[in-house]
Amino acid sequence: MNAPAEGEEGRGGAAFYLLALGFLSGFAVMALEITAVRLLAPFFGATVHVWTNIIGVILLALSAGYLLGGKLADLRPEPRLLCRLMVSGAVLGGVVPFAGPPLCRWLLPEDLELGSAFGAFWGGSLVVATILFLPPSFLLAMTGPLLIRCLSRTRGVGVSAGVVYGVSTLGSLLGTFLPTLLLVPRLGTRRAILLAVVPLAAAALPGALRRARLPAAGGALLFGAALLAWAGGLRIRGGAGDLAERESAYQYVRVREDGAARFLVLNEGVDSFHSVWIRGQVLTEGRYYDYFNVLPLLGQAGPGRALVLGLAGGTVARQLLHFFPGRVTGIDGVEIDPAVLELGVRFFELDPARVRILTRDARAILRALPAGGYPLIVADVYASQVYIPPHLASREFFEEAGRTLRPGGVFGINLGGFTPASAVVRAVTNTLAAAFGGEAFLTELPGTRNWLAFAFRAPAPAWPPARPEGMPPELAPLWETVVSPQTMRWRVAGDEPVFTDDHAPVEALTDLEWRALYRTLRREARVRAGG
Amino acid sequence: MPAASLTLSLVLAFVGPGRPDDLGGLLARGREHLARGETGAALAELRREEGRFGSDARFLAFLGFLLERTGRLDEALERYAAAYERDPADPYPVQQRGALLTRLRRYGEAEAIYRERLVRRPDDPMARDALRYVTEERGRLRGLVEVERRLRRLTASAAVVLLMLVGGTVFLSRRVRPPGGVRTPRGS
Repeated sequence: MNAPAEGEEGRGGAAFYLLALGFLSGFAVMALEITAVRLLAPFFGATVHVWTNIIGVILLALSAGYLLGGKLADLRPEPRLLCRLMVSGAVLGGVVPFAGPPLCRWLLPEDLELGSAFGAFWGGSLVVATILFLPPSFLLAMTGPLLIRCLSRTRGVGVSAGVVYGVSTLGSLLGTFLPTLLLVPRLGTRRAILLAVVPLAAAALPGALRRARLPAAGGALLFGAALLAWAGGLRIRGGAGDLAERESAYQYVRVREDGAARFLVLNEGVDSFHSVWIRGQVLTEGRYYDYFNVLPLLGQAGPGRALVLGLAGGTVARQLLHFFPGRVTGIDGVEIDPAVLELGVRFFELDPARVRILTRDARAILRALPAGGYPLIVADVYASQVYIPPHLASREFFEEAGRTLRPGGVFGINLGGFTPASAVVRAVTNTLAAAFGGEAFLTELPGTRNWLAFAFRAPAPAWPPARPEGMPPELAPLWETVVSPQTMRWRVAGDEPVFTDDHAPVEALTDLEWRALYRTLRREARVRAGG
Repeated sequence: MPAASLTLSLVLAFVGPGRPDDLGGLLARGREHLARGETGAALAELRREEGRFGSDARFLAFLGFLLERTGRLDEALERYAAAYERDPADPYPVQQRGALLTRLRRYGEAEAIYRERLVRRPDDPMARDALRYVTEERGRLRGLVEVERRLRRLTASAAVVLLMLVGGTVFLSRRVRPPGGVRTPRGS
């Protein structure tokens, strides 16, 4: 393949060269967009807000790039300029994986509280995406009109535009699937970005130079290979006390150690975690997992396997198997992310011999399970720290869970909320009650921002139930909290929503709550700073 | 003892056993409702009697507790404040009001309440511990201030990036002239 000389760009091999560049450019832009979320997720999460910011920034870059690229195409329709823009875009894209994490780390220090970081997740991801992803996308977008103009010297503008759009969109198609399915899970985000831009830089460099073209391309490839090797050895987020980190097909996962405790942290994490393991202990010092252990004492469905939806590292599974060796005969644990399970086995004593692991979405699994099989179902299903997936908070979901329970069985779900006024906590509890014969129970877990909502498949026990004999003594304080007047007996209320598969605005309600909290914290911080 | 159990013990101790007078009986019935998890029923009953007993500190504090449990937080704060006004010797309304404000992250108001309590009762250990906790939590807000400061700096950088891109390209496109005869006529 030869880089075209001036005036030769529409002919044979030269046209093929330019179209190949168009393909690689389309691949690079889309791969940058897809991997952008993965690069920012360890710091800002992968919420719909982060996605929106990234897509918005890239679209702005494309729009501005097309507009200005069109003007440039009329002024200087030169292949060399085209190639130089591509090299520049690729080089700026190559800077992203190295500049991004330190920039995000600087913006969000490690010891932040989730509430204090909430505003920065939205604003920070927008600003960081603008700094990192706008320049390369803008430059690469400028090349589209130039490419069309160059090719249209020897053929019609319509044909040229069609071919360029077709080929670059094919590149974008590859840039959509390849990073998600192969590059990020196998090689990591940094190397996925480099693999998107290095081929473009190496291919465009000969066209950008007047001489020493092939050595330059070879040099670019060698330099790219060196960068790839270097990037592979860098930590993704890093941090004192991190035992391991993974980039799975779903998220960024890490294990943090603090004294005798280990925490499984997903994506941005901040002070939030998804599993806890404490050396020499089964309970987790009053964290919300511990309270799930009261549920087998309340259920009246006899011994059997328990179903844990949202197994993560297996904290609850380990506790149930420890405290109820006769009553809980085994665990079926549902966890969608194999990387989480791998770290669970390695760092959280998740025992695959006693926990049958089901690696699919909780709802899909629930639908496939036989009716009346479980005396106990526990759901701890969160995405991006604070959001319950809407399809796991709907009436239909809870009805499917009820169908899977034995008569007298109990279903419990972990909910996040700061006060009894939490709209999400109230709505999900109301939905649970609607699906379980009109009644559910809701208890606030002291010292946490969590609530335990639970409901029984009839027959339900008389409330308050008598303290069971032979209860493990460690569970007594937990029992006292759950079976106390603090616990609200929740009857379906007409003035509270019932979420359905069709309408479950969990994310919107959660956002409202966290934004209100963030506003309060900002006000408090300003008063303090002013004082 | 978990915080919830402690709070509950305080509530029950405060409400006290059933008494022959109307208020005592009402509070006892409320307590029975609570034991059955029927917070809504207890609240409805007390609401009906607010006209009669609304000036009693015990009644107001218990009503505040029920309002809090059912998510009516502003009303709960009002009742706690009213209960404290009527009986400043009792620690329960202060504790409940301060704890609720703390959970709402309204640290400034919580701090003021505890400080005022310590002026009246310098030896109140609950107020002293709670004040220490609130002060620590307010201290953690330094992180938020720092993040906002950094975000402002980063936003300025992003604005510069945008300006450079747009300004630079416009400048170049005006300065750079096409080689002779290449320019496409407008509208072609």
